[in-house]
Amino acid sequence: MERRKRESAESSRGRLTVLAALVVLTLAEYVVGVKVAPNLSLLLLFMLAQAALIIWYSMELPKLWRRDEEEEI
Amino acid sequence: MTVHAEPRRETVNRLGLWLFFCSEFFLFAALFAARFYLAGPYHAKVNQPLGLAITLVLLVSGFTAYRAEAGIRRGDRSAFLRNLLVTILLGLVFLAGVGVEWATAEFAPSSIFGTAFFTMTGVHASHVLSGVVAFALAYRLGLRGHFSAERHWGVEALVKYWYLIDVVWVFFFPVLYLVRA
Amino acid sequence: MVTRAVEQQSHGGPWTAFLPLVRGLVWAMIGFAVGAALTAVVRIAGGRSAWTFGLSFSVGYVFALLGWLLGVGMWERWGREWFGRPTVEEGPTDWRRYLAFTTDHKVIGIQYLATFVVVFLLAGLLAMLIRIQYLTPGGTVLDNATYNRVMSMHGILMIAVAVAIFVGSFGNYLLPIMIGARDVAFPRLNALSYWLVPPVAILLFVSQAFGGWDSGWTAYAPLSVRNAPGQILFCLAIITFGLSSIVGGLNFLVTIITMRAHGMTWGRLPIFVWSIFATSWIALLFTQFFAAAMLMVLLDRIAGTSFFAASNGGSAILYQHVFWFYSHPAVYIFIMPALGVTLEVLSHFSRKPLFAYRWAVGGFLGILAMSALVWVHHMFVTGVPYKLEAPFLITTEIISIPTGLIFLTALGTIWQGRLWLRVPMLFALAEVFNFLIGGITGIFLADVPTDAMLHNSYWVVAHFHYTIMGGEIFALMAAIYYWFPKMTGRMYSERVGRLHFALMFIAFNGTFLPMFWAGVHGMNRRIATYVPSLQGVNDLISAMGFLLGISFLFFVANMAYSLVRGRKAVANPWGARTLEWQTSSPPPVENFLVPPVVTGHPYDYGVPGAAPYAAFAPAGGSGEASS
Repeated sequence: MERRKRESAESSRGRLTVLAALVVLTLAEYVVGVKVAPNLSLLLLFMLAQAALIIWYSMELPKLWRRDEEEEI
Repeated sequence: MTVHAEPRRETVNRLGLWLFFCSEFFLFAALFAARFYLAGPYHAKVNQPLGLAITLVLLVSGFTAYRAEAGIRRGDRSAFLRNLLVTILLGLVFLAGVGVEWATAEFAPSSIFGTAFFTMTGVHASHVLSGVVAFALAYRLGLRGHFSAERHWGVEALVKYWYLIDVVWVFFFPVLYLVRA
Repeated sequence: MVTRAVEQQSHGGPWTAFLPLVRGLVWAMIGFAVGAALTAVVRIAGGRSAWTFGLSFSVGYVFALLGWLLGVGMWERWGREWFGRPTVEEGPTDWRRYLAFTTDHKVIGIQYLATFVVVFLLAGLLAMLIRIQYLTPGGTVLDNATYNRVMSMHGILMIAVAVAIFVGSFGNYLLPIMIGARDVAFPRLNALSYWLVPPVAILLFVSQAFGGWDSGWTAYAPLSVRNAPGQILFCLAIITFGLSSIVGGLNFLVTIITMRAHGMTWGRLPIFVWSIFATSWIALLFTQFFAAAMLMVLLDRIAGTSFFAASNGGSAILYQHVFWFYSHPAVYIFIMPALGVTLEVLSHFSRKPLFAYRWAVGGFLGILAMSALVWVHHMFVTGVPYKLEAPFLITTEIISIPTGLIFLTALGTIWQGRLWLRVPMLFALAEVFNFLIGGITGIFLADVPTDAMLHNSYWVVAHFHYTIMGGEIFALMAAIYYWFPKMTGRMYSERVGRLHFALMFIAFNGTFLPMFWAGVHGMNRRIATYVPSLQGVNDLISAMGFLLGISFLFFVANMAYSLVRGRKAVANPWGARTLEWQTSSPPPVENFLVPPVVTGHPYDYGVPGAAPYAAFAPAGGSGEASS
């Protein structure tokens, strides 16, 4: 129980980092889109980076092929 | 490669969920492609700050959804319910934002950008709505003592679905609000 | 087994079988009323009229669909769970289960097969009507508008049959048994996928009361945006049917990937399973585009958008892109399982290993990979940019390479085999023959210069009937005769089966071969009349068409009689190696009394010293694969 709590706190911090990165990317994207150069290929870089972050970390894509120990317990 | 006759239920469910996401991706890709086929990079006057605001709301709601899942995973029911409720509220805020955008839009659905805009935001918002309804059902179940540290696949699936909605919006927001010729 | 079940279920008369359906319909009507009322409330709040057909019907339908599914049995099996109540797992175990929301993949397979054979025969009757119409150049029985509706209905019903009959019936019934599993990965989703089908049929038939639709099965815009309101029902039907396909494809993929028996490596999968694997990817991914196309038509009609309204900057060609991005890959949904069955049957009845198994698998995966890269060849004459034509000509020619691999596998398997010419084998050989003609005549449609001349002519009609009917339906007949003993526990009549085959083969070629000639000589497809000079060939086609229709009477009679009176089938009447023949006919509920362990290759017929395909470990024993 204690271990689970600690792990949870750690991954919660990790998720907060991901969220911060997403917010920063969105704001940067917004600035680029509104003030700098709203062209598709530039924006596509932001979209792909954000999508990759969410899919890899938030949706835990690697869990699809990795067997995580937590559930084995 | 060893082949297991009776795989773990989680593995099977997770694969099924991801295949469903692949399928959904094709639906949104169709709309995404149609938007550029019809209107190119053109966009009419939209409320860009509002778009940014609801995007941030959706991103934050992803984090609270995760907190809810992490809560039930460690058996902390009150954290689960609290975060789930916040997620639902953020989802409703997002929907309200879309509603305001629809009500105040200065272009008609019959215009070429309006066609793309209303269809894409509408299909996306219907997914948000389904997610909110499902979260509400999960909240009710959680109140009645369902889900536990051992059994919470339903919550995990919903949270992943919620992130799918995030991913779609990450693509839709720039092409509807920012991109320009 | 069955008798015990009957005793268990002896309470209540046979009419209780229809209770789930009746409740489904009642709940659907309630759902429709709720949806329409919600629409009315919102519209009145916005100061508009309470009822507008398109919007009210569409919203009502969404709720009606939910009501139907829950009412027909999803509520007990599934819905209660959403509200934290225990689900009810027991249901009827006698024949009544075929009319209920059941999760046994074998029951669902039979439900699919029975439903779509009926739809196939109905759509066949419409084809007879079309042939009657063509007895004279000016048309005999139908006015132009009715003809268009009949032709459209024939088209979409047959397309629905082509999409679902293999995957839904044989995929469901056989795939879990062939890989040694007890059921599919998601049995409830499987039931959902079947019970989404009746609303599709109901919508298509009810739409005739709202003027039907006259835009063919392809529903090209802008006609589909402007014609009778029946088109709205068509769009809703297709979206529903698409959902059913997607759910089915997802289920098969997860089943194949995760539920294989011990020792069932990818290299030991029966080729039919491989064909379903490739097909399921197409169904899972591309079906969304058909749904998207229908959604766009719906929105243009009921929400005032301008996807296809050229006056507002929309583009009707967008429709064709979105539509064919699904509908071309869809033809591989039709043909790949058919080719898979053909290869199965050819190997079993040639008593020879399947020739170049790995190349055949490569062929299926190659078709899958290429399937989304050829769609513009349907649009060569509709005004796509000139620079798109050559690339799509080339990709279309290239996709014949993986198809050719499968074809060569078929020929290599027959080569020097000891052919056992039972009815399934006859149909499989005919499939190879017909598909060759279908394939060769397709080259002229893939090449831009010839396509410009042949587009929308009867050449096209003949070509796709050769591939879909000659290819898929002949393989379907092979599959039905081949697995009839397994599914029913009884043998069909070989003599009537041969008569059916002979009539169907001759009549089929007699019907569709002259259509190539008619097409080259200026016969247009989808037109109620034709030039008088073509009456001779059309009368020949009609006569042969009626014969083709008659041949199915022999089929139906054979099936119906054999189902009741046929002699009992043994577990493995064909001496085949694959897993479904290593269990009783019909298989027990859990498919195998003892889980199989696969130890060899499925097609090692006549190979000296070949390991047996499967061993059955004693229950609870070690199930180690020897690979």
